[in-house]
Amino acid sequence: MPDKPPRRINYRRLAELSSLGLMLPSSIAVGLFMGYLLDKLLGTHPWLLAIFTLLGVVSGFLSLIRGLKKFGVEKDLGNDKDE
Amino acid sequence: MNDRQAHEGQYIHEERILRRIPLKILGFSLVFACVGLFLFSPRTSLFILAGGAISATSFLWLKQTIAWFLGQDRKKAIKSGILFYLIRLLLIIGVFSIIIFLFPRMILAFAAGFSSIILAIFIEAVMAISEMKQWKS
Repeated sequence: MPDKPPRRINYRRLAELSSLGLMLPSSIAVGLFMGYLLDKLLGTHPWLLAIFTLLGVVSGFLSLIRGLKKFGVEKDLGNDKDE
Repeated sequence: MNDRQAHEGQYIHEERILRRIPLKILGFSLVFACVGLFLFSPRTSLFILAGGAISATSFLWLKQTIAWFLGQDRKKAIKSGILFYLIRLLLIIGVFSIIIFLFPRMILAFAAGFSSIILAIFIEAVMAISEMKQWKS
């Protein structure tokens, strides 16, 4: 039987952490599939795949850094409220 | 239960969930790799597994970075955090470039393994929601 989790568990924080973890792979996947499909349509293999994957990686990192900053700010605000 | 005990219990439970995610990523990529072995080729399954392993490592790296980022002096943490992430960005671009230019047919297999994190987090979210519903009822 699984342990009963503590009642006050902060699922919001876990969801934020998980969404940070999802940002990079989902951006890469979108860029990669777009590049792959466009390459197939236009016959430019592998240039559009490479360019769109690169764009996906860069946008994933930018949103990850933005998310990390926001997470840090919210954590600080939460600490201030606790105090 | 006092506040400190409740906080510790919450931390332990969160840690348990966050530690489970990389294992789930590896598990899902292993399952996908087995399917790939039967449907495609051993090389395809190897790339799926490699994608899963990089995804799991990336998640662990992110988790440690966040813990470190939140425990540091903010200005210093942002500077070194950006430098750290630039190195990581170059590494990921390098890995994808090598696969795109040297093994172009394997990029989808690698992406499938790399995206198994989406499934792992989705399953974890469903489990968390079912736990919440159990408490409420």
